[in-house]
Formats: sequence, C-alpha cells, structure tokens
Amino acid sequence: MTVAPPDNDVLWARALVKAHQGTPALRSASIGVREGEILAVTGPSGCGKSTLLDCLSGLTCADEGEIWFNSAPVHTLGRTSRERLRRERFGYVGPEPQLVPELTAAENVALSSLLAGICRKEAVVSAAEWLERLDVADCAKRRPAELRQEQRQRIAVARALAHGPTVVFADEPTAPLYREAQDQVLRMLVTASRSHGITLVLATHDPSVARYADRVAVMTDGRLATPVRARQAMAASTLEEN
Amino acid sequence: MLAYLRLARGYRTLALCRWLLTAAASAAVAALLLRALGLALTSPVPGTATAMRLLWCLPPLAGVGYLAAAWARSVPLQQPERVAGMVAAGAGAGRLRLLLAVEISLACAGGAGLGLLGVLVLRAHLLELVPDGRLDPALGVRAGLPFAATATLLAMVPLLGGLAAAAALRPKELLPQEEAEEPVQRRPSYVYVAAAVLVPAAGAALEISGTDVLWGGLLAITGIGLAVPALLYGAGMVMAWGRPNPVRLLAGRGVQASAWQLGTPLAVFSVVGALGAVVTAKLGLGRSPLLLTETGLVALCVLGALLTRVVELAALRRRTYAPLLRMGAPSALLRRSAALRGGATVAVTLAATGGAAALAAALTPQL
Repeated sequence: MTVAPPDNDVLWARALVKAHQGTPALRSASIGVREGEILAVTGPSGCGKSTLLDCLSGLTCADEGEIWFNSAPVHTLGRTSRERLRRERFGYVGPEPQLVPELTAAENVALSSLLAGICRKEAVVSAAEWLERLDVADCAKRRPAELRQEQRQRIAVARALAHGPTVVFADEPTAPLYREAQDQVLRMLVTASRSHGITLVLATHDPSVARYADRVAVMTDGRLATPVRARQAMAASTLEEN
Repeated sequence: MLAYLRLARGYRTLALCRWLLTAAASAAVAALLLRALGLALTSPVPGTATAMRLLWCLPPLAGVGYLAAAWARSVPLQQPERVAGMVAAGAGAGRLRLLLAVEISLACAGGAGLGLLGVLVLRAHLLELVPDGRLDPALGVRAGLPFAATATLLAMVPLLGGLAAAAALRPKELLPQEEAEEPVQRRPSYVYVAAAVLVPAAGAALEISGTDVLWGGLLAITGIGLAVPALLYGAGMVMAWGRPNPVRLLAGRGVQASAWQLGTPLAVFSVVGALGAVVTAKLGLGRSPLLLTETGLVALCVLGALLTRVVELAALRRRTYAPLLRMGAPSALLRRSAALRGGATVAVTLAATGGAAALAAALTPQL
C-alpha cells in the first residue's frame, strides 16, 4: 500500500533501507522536508548521512522504501528520469568542490544551467551573477587548479544554485575549509537558499551548524530521529555539553 | 623477484598487454644486438660495416626506452590506488621510482632473455627459420658467443628501459596529489607558437626552393611535429568558441587540456612515421628485411607509447566526469562529447601526418 505524502512536504521519504555490499547504511530511515526550509541532518561520520542524501537526490536507488518529490514518486523512476531530476530540480555541494578541472570557474557554473536546459545567454548571465554574489567574480576566468580551496568551494556552491533548483543537497560542504571560511561559505549557502526560496538539506557532523537550520534531524546508525526545531536542538546539545 | 611475480599476478588485461609489448620489443632488440655481435664475430675484417650494424640497433633501442618511459609515466594516473597503497606502506617518491623502474626493467630483462633463447635456438639449428643455413654467418655460428660481450649487450636493454622509466617519473607528480597541486593547464607561449609556424614554413621553403632539399625537408617534418600540440590547443579553442552547448564546451576544453599530454606522443608518432618513410625510401626498404624489422619495431614502440598515453588519459577523463554524472549529465551527452573530442584529435593528427607525409613524398624522389 502506498501512502501519499503530506502536501507541505517537498521531499518525503519513508522507511529507506540501503546496504553497501552487505553493510547496512540506512535502516528504515524516514524524513519529510518542508518547502523552503533548511533542514540539517547531523550525526557522527559513518552514520549514513551521505547515503541518505544520495538516495534522496536520486543518485542511488534505495533497496527498500519510498521517496516522493513534489507528490511524485522518485523510487519508481528509471535512470534517465532520475538524471533529469538531478540536473533540473536538484543541486549538490559535496565535501570536495568536484569542479571540472579543464573548465573555467564561470564555465563550471554555467554548465549546470546548460545541462538543465537553460538557454546559453541566460546561463552565462546567471553564472556571472552567482559568482558575484558569492564574492568570487574575480576568479571567473581562471581554472580550478589556479584557485584556493575556499574559492573552489564557493564556486561549487554557485554551481549548485545557478540553475534555480528546488532542493539543494549539501553533504559536509565545509569539510575542506578552515574555520573562518567554513562560517562564510555556510552563511552564503544559507542566505542564498533563503532569499531564493530554495529548500536546503544539509548533512554535517558538526552540531553547531544547527544554528543555521530551521529544523534538525539527528541520525544514528542509519536511523533518523524526528526533526526538531533548531532552537530545541541547540538547547539539547548545550545541555549535553554541560 | 617473488614480490614482483605477485605484482604480475594482479595485472589486468591492459597492463598485461603493455608488459607483453615491452617484453616482445626487448626480445627483438636483444636479437638484433646479438645478430650484430654475430656478424662482428664472423666477418673477416672488423670495420665500418659491423659498426654500422651495431649503430642501426640504436633506433629500436631508443624505441624500447620511449615505450618504458611512457609506461612509467602512465602508472600514477592509471593505477592511483597502487601508488597510494605503496605510499601508505611507507614508500617515498624515491623508492616508488626505484620500484617502478625495476618492475619495467624486469619486463625488459625477461624480453632480452627470450631474445637470447631465440638466437640460441637458431644457432643450434633446433628451428630452421631460413633454409640452407643462410643465417649462419650473421648469427656467428662458427664462433662461440663470448660471454662478456653477450652479457653486456643483453644488459643494455633492461638498463636502458629502467633508466628511461626512472627519468620519466617526476617525484613530484608521483605522490598522490591534492587537487591544488594538479598541473595548471598551460597555454602555448607566443614564442612556441611562432616557432611552430616558422620552423615548418622555413623547412618547406628550403625544400621547395631546392637550396637544401634533405635538411629542409627534415626541418619541415620536425616542425610539423612541433606544431601538433599547438594545433590541438587551437582546435580545442575553436570548438569552445562563442557560446557553445555543453557537448562542444566539454569536448573543446578537453582537447585543450590534453593538448600537451596527448600532443607530444602524437607528434612523435607523426614525425617518426614521416622520417621513417624518408629514411627507408632513401636506403631501400625492400632490399633489407633487417631494416624493415627495425622500422617496424620503432613504429610498434611509438604506437605502444601513444596507446599507453590514450588509456592513461581515459582514466583521467573518468575522474573528470564524476562530478558531471553527479550533476545528472546524461551519459549520451558525455559519449557525444567524447566522440567529438576524439574526432577532432584524429582530424588534427591526420592533417599533421598528412602534411609530414606529403613533404616526405616530395623529398624522396629528389634524394
């Protein structure tokens, strides 16, 4: 029996199970992501956050369970439809910038729009705008190898946002950065998502990131706790520390 | 040795093919060297003929060295997990270099051993390749093979292979790198572009005007080789010109990025091909099966090095495309871009080789 997802959830997953060659990564994980919110998924490394994001974004198929995006099933889609969903409706920022080394920064950002089927002129204009917004406009004509890691990660953020996605998945987006840059990049990602009404699913091992989120879901050993409001999560983690 | 065998057991098909190619080329070179020795032993008066025979073994020997260098260079990109494993086990850049050089020179040594075996079989008439003992004088059948000379000549092959491999590996590139340390894509400098235009033009002018046909032609052919990377870079730039679609953009920038890495072996390939054509036409290829063997051997080595580089770059390309797949780029798009990139590279190579061949053809009757 299929249960239709709640109407205000843009992305909804129920009882996801996924194993990597026999090692369980997700054990019946369920989650609902509301439209326009910033949801942090926290938990220690190895608890299944990346696998959850991979399943939600349609990169891999869960072994069991359902995923719904805008009230349409994702788990029944074929490979090409999932590819299309990824390039048109989703954005992704990974723990590594993962830019195409032979393309310039502007081309890397414009590529996501081009792949999403946006016309070339608009793609170039929006790439320039996003680079400007993320303070890396001066790197537009340079290739990733010539840039600092922080600049590269900003370009990766711009790439994830440039084609106007509905949901952006960020998997430890601050992992390669030093403390100060971590805050900056995260703040930019969050501000941009809020101002453009983009839903952001943020996976991180760092509980302090919760202060940027609307709701926080804690993940332990492949299971997700029900998301709580960020303020409660902050209070809970302060209590634990004390 | 035991560790080496264990390594060889883990070879995949491609690595095995490369191993076999290196060993086969080494065997042929070893046989040629021993044949030169045999000729020297049986000829009544040692002189220029025997020395020339030995000197003619140098191009194939250089070919084996080039192949070994290409193999060594391909390891860090093609088998990164192996390099990472050895680094994790505590091997530094120096030891890694030594290990790879020894691995490659062992392949050469194996080949040289096979070459010796073949020569011994022919000498003992266990196998009649040519009837009536016509090969006997060349193999020095009547004289015994002196140990020192044989060992020296045979040792040349693995020694050269190992040295070439060690020289080709740059310690900095060998260790697993951060993305930041990846080589910045080089744009051809103006001096280089000027040289790539002027050298072939000057050579062709010399050849056509008839002032110095041979040197003019050779200069022009070498110049064309020099121009291949610049041509590739230019072709890539043209492909990604203006407001390209993703296929054109990826293909064009890909060609630009591989202009040096792929352009160099392609240039060697076209230059060696054209020069080989001139030389064999001048000396009469049909008259000497030995010369035919040597030319074929050099061609095989150059082709093997080129293919090694192509496979190495394909491995690099797969890593480049990982983020694209993550972004949901359709695989048909990636295939189309790969086809366009390959087509452009082949077109540039054909144009360069065609130009060099035309010059060679114009050169031949006048010699």
